[in-house]
Amino acid sequence: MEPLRVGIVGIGNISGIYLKNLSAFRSTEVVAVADLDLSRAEKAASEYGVPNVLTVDGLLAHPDVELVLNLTIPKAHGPVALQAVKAGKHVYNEKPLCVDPEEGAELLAAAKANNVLVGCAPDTFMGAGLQTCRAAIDSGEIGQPVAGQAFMLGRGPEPWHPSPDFFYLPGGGPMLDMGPYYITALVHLLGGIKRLTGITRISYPERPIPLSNEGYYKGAGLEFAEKGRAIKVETPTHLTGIMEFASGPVVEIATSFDVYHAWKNHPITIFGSEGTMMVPDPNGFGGDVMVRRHDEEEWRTLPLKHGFAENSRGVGVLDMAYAARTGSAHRASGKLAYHVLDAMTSFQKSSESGRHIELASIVDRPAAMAVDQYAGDVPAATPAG
Amino acid sequence: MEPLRIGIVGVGNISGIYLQNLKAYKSTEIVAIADLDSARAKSVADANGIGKVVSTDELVKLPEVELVLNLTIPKAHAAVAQASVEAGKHVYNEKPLTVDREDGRKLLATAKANNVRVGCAPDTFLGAGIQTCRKLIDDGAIGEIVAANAFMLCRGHETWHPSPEFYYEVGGGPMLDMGPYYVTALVALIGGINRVSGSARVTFPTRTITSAPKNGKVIEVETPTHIVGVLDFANGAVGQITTSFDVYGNSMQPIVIYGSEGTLLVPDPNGFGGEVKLSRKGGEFETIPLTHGFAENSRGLGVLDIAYAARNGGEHRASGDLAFHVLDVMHAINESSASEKHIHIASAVERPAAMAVDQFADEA
Repeated sequence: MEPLRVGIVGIGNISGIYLKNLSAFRSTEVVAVADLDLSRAEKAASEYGVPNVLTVDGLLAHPDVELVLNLTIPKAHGPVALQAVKAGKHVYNEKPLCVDPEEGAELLAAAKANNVLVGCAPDTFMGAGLQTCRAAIDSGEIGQPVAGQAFMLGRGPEPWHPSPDFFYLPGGGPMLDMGPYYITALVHLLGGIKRLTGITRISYPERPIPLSNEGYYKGAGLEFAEKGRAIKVETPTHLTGIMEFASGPVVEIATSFDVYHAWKNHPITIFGSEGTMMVPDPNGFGGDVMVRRHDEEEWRTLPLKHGFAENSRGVGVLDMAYAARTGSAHRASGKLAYHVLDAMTSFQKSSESGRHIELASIVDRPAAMAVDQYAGDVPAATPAG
Repeated sequence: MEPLRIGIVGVGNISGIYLQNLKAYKSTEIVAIADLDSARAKSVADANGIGKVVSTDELVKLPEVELVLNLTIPKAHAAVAQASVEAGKHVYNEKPLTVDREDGRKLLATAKANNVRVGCAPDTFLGAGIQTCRKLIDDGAIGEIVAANAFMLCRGHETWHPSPEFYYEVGGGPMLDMGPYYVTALVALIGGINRVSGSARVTFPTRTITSAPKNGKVIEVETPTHIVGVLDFANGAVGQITTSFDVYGNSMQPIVIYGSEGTLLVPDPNGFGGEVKLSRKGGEFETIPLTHGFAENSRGLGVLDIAYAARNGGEHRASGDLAFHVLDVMHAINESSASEKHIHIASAVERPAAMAVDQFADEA
């Protein structure tokens, strides 16, 4: 199969793993990079042998680029992606799809009109951990899924993040930041969400940035700061909700920047009629899948049989390459990401309006990966699984 | 202090522990017993040296009875309690206070008019486990309370209970059955609840009994068996509660309280002792030694507390107002799921007073 030619916009932190994987997969090829910081783009291009270093506009118009990998900041996801699809390119956004659902709807409509594909991170659900969960659920390991829990709890990024302000502005918050991993994983396992309710709060109206965050104070030119500064919080930082899936399960979720203790052992639990499954961290590709059926005393770790147990960010783009070439449906789709965005933004709406919210953007589960899916795309040096 | 004289209505399974404790405390005394099964009442009275076995109607009117301990089935809580307060007696109900809120309101209003006290189980929150948590919170160990989780997860009772049908009838379900322990503990530790929302589901429309003697009988499920609520506390904290008869569970703690400075693991609120664990600023959890008395099964402690309040004045802790608030919250979670709206809780309460470390130490 002829490799899909990818142009990357935004060469920040996350781009390294995409460059590495998309250069390695046989069916993808990085042909151009663009960044507001030209030197950063040039450095990446020389490291990975990318032939074109372009401006954003130049990349979006470049005839060699078939798919735009949009790794810009969340606020720019919508505008850059819309420009890409209007230029007739497929696009794959970092999560979230956009910061508000209207933007997402406009993007999907424009892509349809231009006959191009939209994809979106996260693609962690295509990894060995979550695919093993999926195969186990589909084979009846825990019976019929009945309920679930998802917890992403932490005390916020300001002690260590070099520029933490955006986490506390509209479009930030723990749900839009980390919710995509959790909710996408749940939709992958249980199907679409029909109705949800939530209660959200701003626990701390101000977040002091500790002086020990040297990256921040140096980056902001504040080496000699004596008192530090505080971020004014403009978006809920503790969101708790209940999702009702169309297939029946009721799943509670909490995402927080306000509490200590992460429940690392319990990022996601799925309760079934015959047993319980502990799903590994959905912000990763591998991890331990633990199951306990009703007649078992101990938790049992399931072997990971699928490929992509290592950091395989970009496997969603690879999947799109096959979709673009063969006409198959891609899994990390814009439609899925829009549903997840719809759900994530509805918790705050529910809390503020005091009502349950029915989601109109219902989706089906993306297709399961075969155990050896895309095994031929991975160079022998980094074998699958 | 002169002991408070108690008459017990209903001497089923749960009565044993009340009899044991209320006989042992210096300030409570059991003077009469009533049960629909008079033979059972007689044998309990004989075994415990209680002079009077009477009908329920007679018991609530006996001049020597000051407090009626109402251990009837939930559906009978309202009628027996109402008759008691109308007869000028204090009353202490097993949980829940009543099945319906309307009955609960009427009971509290009549009690107020007649200047008598209403108390209600659970009183487990007065035990060493939850009182140790309360003291840690009040001493600032976890800072300001930000959020809480409560989980009561099980796969139902038809595998072991001889007559499990009532768990699946209207008025049953996991929230009304076990929610009182969890919601009461949350209110005792965090304070009153302002607003709730919820999702409730009948996961399995029928359940098959596998215990003796009704093995094989199929129960039609009439009430939600998986109920999840989200809670706004008056002090700003946000909570989440799950009660289920539909799942096999995981290893989450029964109650977790998250604060600005740390996290507290609260022991099973259907017990008096248990293990209290504290993590400061995300560090490893350490087990905190219990600071308070009543770590063993002390059902009846709430009655003892009423004895002191009745003799000396002041508020008792396991109060009718608290139990009504808990009932209100539990019903509202279910109603929210059906009405698709968040529900404001009108029945505001404050946290009941903390127990002193040596509270009632000379009673035991």
